[in-house]
Amino acid sequence: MNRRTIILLGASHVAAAAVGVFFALRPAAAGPAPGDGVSNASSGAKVSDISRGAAGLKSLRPVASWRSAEFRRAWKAVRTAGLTTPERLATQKQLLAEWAKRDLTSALDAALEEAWDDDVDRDFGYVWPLGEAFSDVFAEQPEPAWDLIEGGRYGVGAGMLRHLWLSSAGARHPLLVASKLADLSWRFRDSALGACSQGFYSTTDEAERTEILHALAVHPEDLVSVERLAGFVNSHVQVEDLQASPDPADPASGRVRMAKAWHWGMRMSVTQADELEAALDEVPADLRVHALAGAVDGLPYNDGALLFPVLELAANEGAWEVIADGNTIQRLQYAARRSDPRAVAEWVTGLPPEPALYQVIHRGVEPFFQRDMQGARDWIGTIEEPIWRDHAYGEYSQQALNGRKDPVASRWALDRIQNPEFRAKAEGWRRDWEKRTAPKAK
Amino acid sequence: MSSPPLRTLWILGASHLVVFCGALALTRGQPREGGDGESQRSPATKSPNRAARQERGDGEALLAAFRARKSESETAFEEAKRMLRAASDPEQAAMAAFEAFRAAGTDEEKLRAEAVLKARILQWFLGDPEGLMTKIGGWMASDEGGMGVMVTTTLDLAPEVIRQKGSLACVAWASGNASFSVKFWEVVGQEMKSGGGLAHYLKVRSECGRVAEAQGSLIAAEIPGAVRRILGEGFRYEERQRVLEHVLEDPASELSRDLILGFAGSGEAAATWIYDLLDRGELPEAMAKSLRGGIGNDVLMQPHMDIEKRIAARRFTPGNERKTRDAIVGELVSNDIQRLFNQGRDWRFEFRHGVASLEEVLSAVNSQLRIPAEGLVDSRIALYRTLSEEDPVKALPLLEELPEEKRRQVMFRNTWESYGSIHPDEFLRFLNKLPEPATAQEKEDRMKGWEWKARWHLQRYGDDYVEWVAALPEGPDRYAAINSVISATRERNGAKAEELNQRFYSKKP
Repeated sequence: MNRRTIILLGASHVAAAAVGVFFALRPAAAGPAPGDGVSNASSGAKVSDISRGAAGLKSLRPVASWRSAEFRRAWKAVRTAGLTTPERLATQKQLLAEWAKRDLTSALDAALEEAWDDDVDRDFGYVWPLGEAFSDVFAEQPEPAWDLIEGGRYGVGAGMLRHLWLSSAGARHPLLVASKLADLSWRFRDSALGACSQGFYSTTDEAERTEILHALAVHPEDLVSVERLAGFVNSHVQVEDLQASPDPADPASGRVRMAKAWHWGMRMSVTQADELEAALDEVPADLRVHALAGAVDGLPYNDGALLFPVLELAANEGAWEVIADGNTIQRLQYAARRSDPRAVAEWVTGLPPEPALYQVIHRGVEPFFQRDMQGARDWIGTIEEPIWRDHAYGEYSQQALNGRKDPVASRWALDRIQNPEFRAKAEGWRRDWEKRTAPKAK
Repeated sequence: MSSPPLRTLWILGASHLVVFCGALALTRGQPREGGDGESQRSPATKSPNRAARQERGDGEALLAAFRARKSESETAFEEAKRMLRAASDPEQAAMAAFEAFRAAGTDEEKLRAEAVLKARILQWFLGDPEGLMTKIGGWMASDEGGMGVMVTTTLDLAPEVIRQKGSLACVAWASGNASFSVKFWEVVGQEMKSGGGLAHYLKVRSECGRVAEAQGSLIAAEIPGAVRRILGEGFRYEERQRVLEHVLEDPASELSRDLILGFAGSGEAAATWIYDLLDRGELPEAMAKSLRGGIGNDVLMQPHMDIEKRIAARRFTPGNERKTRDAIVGELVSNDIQRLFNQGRDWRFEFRHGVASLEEVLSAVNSQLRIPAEGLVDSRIALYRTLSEEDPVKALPLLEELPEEKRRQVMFRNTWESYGSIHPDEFLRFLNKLPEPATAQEKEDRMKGWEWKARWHLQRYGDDYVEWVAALPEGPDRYAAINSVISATRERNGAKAEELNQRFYSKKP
């Protein structure tokens, strides 16, 4: 081989390598270069995709017949496709929705490897941005999806999947959610009941709605409260509907009655508040507390005048839990702040000395004390019930300390408490305040 | 056996092919700038075989095919439009299609029936929009069971019909119906942008006024609040003076304000022009007053506008009056970067997967934004905060030029200022890359990272987050995480918080 041949061969091999390099770089050059404008980056990617896709379309099988591996390869190619953020998110969601029909596990694995935060909207969602792609598959295959979520595969990410399952599959299959309620952590209970509620209101089938109510009513009060159950009572309950005794053969019937009574009370205070007292006599005695709780809940928030007649009925029935309920206390405070706080203070301290009412007294006198410390000082001595008078002095001390930083006024009140047990407690509150506000040693 | 010259040719051909393929494989296998590319490219580097190359090429083609495909329902609708000849009575044909849709059983039947229904409504809509609207009005008012699909399909088709006919021809039926008018005005906005500008807007307004008078209803004359800015974006910069004259006919109205703010949002030049008018006091006070707050927000969307004018305009927005210059520059720069990433190429995603290097991201940011020298540090911090969530190690060089004290402050504050909804494993990886906290503030920041996340993480992940925390290795982070979980649980459920307390602390001596 002479020198010329060697040079020619070398040159031709270099040329072959150059052609190889050219072909290798060509697809990359078709994509957007760093520093392209926003719209250029986007359109550059589209043009190259479509030109490559045109050839691909002829040889590739339709998406409907893709295997999981094909979805995976397309998924990986998203990384180098140079897409804009909205395009990338839309493409990934569409891929996942189709992939999940073919192979839910692989699609979920892939989706959970992407970022869990929402950089675009910056809002806090229970589900990561790509999660919504699975809504349809979860709704269509609720049981397998549930088993997959609960199978331990997804670790800390399972919570997001559970939320997603509840809002998609759960809302479509409320009875299924009801059957799983006892197994769900308390942290998901609100979401689960929300899903049931969505399912309940999306059907107009009376029988199905009754079935949902019964499926929820079999659970105990701490899982589904009567108040929540009342939201699943379908028709406008009449007082006659409450007369039937619980059916011993139906474990749900007792709580279904309570929920109906609650619902009845709520509707009464919405539509016929004036007739509540007379109608209450026809409600079986064991259901009156629920009817009254419903009646309080049905009252308009901004009308204190309607609140007290209902609470009087509750007091006459000895339905202390209705008065001591956090919601009722909020309404009392709201009414006091909007109108006459002294009248509310007088009303609460006129209640019998029931231990269940302790918080009602403190929160009931609070708005009056906050508005008029001097007037309150003169008024407390007029409270007839000794233990409530002591509690009022205790609350006065608290308001003096926390609201006015006035330990002298606090001492004045504490020294007037008669009950030694309660006084010890009130002195303890003061000591806590002193510790909290003591200057910190440097 | 081949003859010697032929054999030589074979050998030569093969050797050239080997060199060609080698160059192809090696070049494709090279990691990009930065040298830390992810597995997308590494298989080819490690094993430059045909299968690996084919897989990658196949992925690109698959993705392109996927993106180019039409959904089944789109395809069916296209087919129905092509196949169905116009019926002599379009209303009757649409109602027959509606009955068939209601009777459809299987998914396949529903898909076809829906496509036919849509095509039939489209024919009816194009032929007799007024007649269809009268029916729609009746269905909406009577809340008649099952007719919802007719209403929603018609609403979906409205933009297509208005575009085909031209908005001016649709005023009578589209502008006077509250449900359709938003879609109508959106199309008007598109027509203005495509060249119609102010003249088209005025023609449509005039026609709407005429129709409103004829119909005895004000609906047609009013432009819904949701689309006013879209219309403002449709004015052309060259006709700005005439636009101004038009809005000054009613300077205190909300419509005028929204049109001008929409115009300001159409680009840097328009925003600058409006700002200058305000700055020189050339607008009546009634209008200037209502524009100031809005223009202060509009300049957030104009990264190329003069920085001094942007700063001054930002101060117009209530709450910003006393902000320092540094604070406003920092806010503008950080906002520009977020918008660039949100609307433009997905650099965060590419950075996360090692496809884009930090240098590439920086180069894109520098070429597409106009970051003033005084905003350089803020821009690096903003980039660090967002990119560290994707890859904390690769993002670190962004802080290299900061003084040591500032650099550490940014890193430690990042534990609670960023990483809001990030996978807890990724947060832990970030924490593990932080230097040992040296000051009380650094220790506090690090703990705050746990405290600020607990409440939200428990809502999102439930008890799985508790288990994740329980599995953390012993150390200050584990205790901070446990305490944050107990404290956040106590806010919602005292008894469960006590259970957790017992679980984690009962064995403590």
